[in-house]
Amino acid sequence: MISVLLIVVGVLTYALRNRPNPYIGVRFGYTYLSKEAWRKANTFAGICVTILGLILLIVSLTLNISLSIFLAILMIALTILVVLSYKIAKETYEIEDLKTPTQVTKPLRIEGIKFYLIVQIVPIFLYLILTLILWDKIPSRVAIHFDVTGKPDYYSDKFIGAVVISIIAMCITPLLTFLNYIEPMITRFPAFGSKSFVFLTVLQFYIALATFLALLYNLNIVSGKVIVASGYAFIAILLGLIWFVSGR
Amino acid sequence: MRDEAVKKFRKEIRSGIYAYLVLKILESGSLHGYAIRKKIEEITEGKFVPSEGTLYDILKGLQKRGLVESFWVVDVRPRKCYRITESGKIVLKEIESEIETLREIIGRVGGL
Repeated sequence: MISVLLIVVGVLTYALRNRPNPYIGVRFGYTYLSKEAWRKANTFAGICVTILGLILLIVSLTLNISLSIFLAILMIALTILVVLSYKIAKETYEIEDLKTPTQVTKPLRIEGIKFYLIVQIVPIFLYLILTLILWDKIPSRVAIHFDVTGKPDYYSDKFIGAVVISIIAMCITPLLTFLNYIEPMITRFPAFGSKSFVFLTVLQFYIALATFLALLYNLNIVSGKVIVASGYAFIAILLGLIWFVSGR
Repeated sequence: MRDEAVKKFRKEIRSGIYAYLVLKILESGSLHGYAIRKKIEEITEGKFVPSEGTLYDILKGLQKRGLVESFWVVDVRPRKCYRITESGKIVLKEIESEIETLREIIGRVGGL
């Protein structure tokens, strides 16, 4: 199913490679600022995603690989694809930039990230301390995913679920913040102001909240309904953040 | 075959000269990539002008070696400017004395 979806996405990305659109395609700051960067990055991504989908389809039909291995291959391939597409978009934009005379310029100050990083990392430490204190009360199997009714639909071992997955989830945003700082054009909204860092920090608060709630659920302190409510809150927060960052 | 050899030889000679010219130009102040290319065109009277792709590779190489660093400015969209680093200035000084020696050698070879 995922393989077929990849093929469809790949073909559509390739078909729409000449027209920047809000629906499908790889998008970085560079691809929004240059049609040529969009075209080259999406031509590459379209072809590669289609080939990846075909390979995964053949592999899943012929070899009996587990879902986790399938997902691992998919994640690694997609990460490589994103990095290469970014490099293509960056090179195209910068070469195009060398061809264009400059008008009156003003410096672009890139915000410092120290404050944002500290604020984002604090919940990770708080979570670790809380988990350590309550370790004996956490059940050996913990719920790590919930369906739309708030009923757990995926469980994991205590250490993996309550520590590893939670910490990884809370480390993504600080990593993105750092990445956004060293490569300000990586996102749709180049990180030249503080908006994208505010966006990521608020997002981190939500991820931390969801992680804490999952822990409290496993300790029988909160119900599944609270988890569902936090899911809806996430959608609302995300839409609000997008509105805030896009400046509309 | 011969054309290919000339092309390769020319590329090898020019890339070093371009890197030197970029450092020399940036020594007197930071510039946008387009302006660097224009300056090279001006200095060489249009005889040695790198293509945008070549200049991109040269700037990338110089940045990788820590001799040049880039920073963003904006006109209608974000643009990249370049400046020489302290280690770039030191390297440039060392290269300049070598360039003098090379000039002498090439002059002597011409008289052979």
